[in-house]
Amino acid sequence: MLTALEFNQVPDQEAAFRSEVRHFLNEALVGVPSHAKARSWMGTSDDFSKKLAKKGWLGLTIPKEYGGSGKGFFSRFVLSEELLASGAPVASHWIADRQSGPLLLRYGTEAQRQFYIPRICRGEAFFCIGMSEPSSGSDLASIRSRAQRTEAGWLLNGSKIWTTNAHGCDYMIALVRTSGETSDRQKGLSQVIIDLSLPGVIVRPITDLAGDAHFSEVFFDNVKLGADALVGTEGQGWDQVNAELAFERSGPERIYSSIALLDCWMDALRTQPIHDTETAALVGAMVAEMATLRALSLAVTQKLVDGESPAIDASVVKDFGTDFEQRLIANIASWLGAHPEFLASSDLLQTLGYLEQMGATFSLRGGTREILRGIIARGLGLR
Amino acid sequence: MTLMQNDFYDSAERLFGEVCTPAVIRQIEGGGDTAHLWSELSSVGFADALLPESATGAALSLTEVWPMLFSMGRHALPLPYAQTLLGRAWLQQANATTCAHAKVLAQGLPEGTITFAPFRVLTERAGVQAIGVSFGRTATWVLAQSDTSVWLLPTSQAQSVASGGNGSLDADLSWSPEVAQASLLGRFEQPQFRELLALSLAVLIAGAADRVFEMTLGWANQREQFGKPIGRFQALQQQISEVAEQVFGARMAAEMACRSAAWQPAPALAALAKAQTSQAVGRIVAVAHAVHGAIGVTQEFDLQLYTRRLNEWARAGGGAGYWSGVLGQQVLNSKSSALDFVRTELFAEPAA
Repeated sequence: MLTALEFNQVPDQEAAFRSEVRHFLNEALVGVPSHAKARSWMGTSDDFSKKLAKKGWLGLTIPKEYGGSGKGFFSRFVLSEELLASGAPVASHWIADRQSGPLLLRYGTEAQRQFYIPRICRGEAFFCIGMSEPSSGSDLASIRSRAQRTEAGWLLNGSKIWTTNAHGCDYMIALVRTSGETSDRQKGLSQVIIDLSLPGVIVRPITDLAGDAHFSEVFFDNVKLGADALVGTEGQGWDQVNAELAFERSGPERIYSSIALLDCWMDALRTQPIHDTETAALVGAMVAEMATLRALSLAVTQKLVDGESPAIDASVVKDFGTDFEQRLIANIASWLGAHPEFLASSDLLQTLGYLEQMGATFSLRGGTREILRGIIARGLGLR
Repeated sequence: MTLMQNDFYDSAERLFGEVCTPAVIRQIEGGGDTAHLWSELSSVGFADALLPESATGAALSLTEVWPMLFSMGRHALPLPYAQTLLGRAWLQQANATTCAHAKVLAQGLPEGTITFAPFRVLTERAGVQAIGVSFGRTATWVLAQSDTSVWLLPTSQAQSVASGGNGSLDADLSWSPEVAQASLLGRFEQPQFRELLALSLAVLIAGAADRVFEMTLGWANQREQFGKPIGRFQALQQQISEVAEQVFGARMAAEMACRSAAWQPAPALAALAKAQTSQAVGRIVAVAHAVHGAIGVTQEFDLQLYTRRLNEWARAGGGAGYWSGVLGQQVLNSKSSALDFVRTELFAEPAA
């Protein structure tokens, strides 16, 4: 059942940390155009990720004994918010930092933790998540990739697709079948960690409609994995993945994907004589909704701090947030159409063009809108 | 629907549940007496919650009374109780700071309920006319402003014409020159009541939306068609989940706007809350009625007690378009990025 999401502030002591991050980003991103910022957590720069690592900002919530900074969820919220709102190219380390590190900390063996997590924190190990397959999109339980036990460990065959930044990563944590048949659904699934440099692994980037290759397909042809490739408990992959998705869905990345466009457009409005009330109302409506979403996201963060696993709340915030991100693009596109005399810069139009093309993915990645609404409905007691 | 952990909230829910039943709402909408309900509501002494202790108030902050205001919306109180709290706090402050008002309020704060008329107040031939006053049919007093003139006008001496659909509590009210002159409180350079009405209605919308959503969930689980509860059908699940997001958003926006250590809201937050709650009403009401089907539009079924009010409150005192415009103009006047405006102006965070 859903309970009330109560308002809470970002704790005061995070203000100094935010200033430090902001100062760093102002220098690091000087001169970056809006249409590059719009790529945000689809934009990759290994150098930038390594610079963040040097600051101690990868693995922010990871305990110091594993090379992290041992900070809390609100520090992480502040860092994520600053990175996303400034359009920093964070894709290289984003998944490792947000999901793989915490997952290994929670379910990994001590040896796995010691091996992988310090590398994640140093920006030396980038991770991707192997979920979807050619015939398994939203129906994740139907996956066919299989890891069979051998004397030495596991033999992996199959493929993954739509894997974000697989071609830029060192490792994949994949959900695969380790026993039973496809008809067994959630039973018999496990998570394995795959070194993408192993023989038999082929990674092929897929070019998207915006001209980028932000995702890939990955093939496994008799890939030999060690016995220590298993993450967590054999057969518990489904539950582990769902716990992981609560992390993925609760963050501020579901609010700020289109913010480069909003800021670029607002700056343009401030320099040209547009004084009609409809324009101000559109700005105000977008800002009001963004503030509301931020408060909801902070409320979910507070639940994480309190040790809860707010999976359904996180789905509410994510679905609401992606709807906002997409509507923002449509609204500004529509506004430009209604104001043909407005002098839109090439940067503004390139930013809009990019987001208009990639905006469709906002309600697909990390669980489609329809799947999320089904999860919310179950949380409301409707299923 | 939303479970709130709060003693004030529990007490308010209990009280309003007992004294403001759907039968009482229907009776008052039909022109019945309001005095009995008001005496039961005011007997707990909550009307002075926001007044300082020096004025025998409880000196609570807006943040502290928020759960009770939310509960007023959940029960669709047919009296402007939330507005009365804020109106009394405004009167007390005005009384304390400007001696010119001593004549009007010599006997202390007025008995009865207070609503606000911050827009479309006309002064013709020395009389005062207030158009489409929210709760104009049931309030005892109207705090009205036109240009710099502010009045505290008694509805008992007004000509009243209903200005809404069936069961609406709104009215056009007009007062004679004599009453108007005797009710003039003074001159105020700035608009005094816009944000107070916006905040009141935003919180009431959040509460009523919560109630409507609760009823919608209940009905979706109870009503069976094609051999199963209609809530099992994906077509309805998708709509109800979407509305859940809007209900959560409305509640959060209203709660945010009540973040104030004083009795009055921050103006930008009142604008945010009225804009965000009002824009949500259309979809919430539409889906609630779609799920309920024909029973939902009957006089006998309670849903309409709340959905009719939601529709009225969404546009009263300035709707989403107006308050978004107010907020948006502030954003454009600032030089801040969207995030920094939100952080510093709406969350009271320090500059980065």
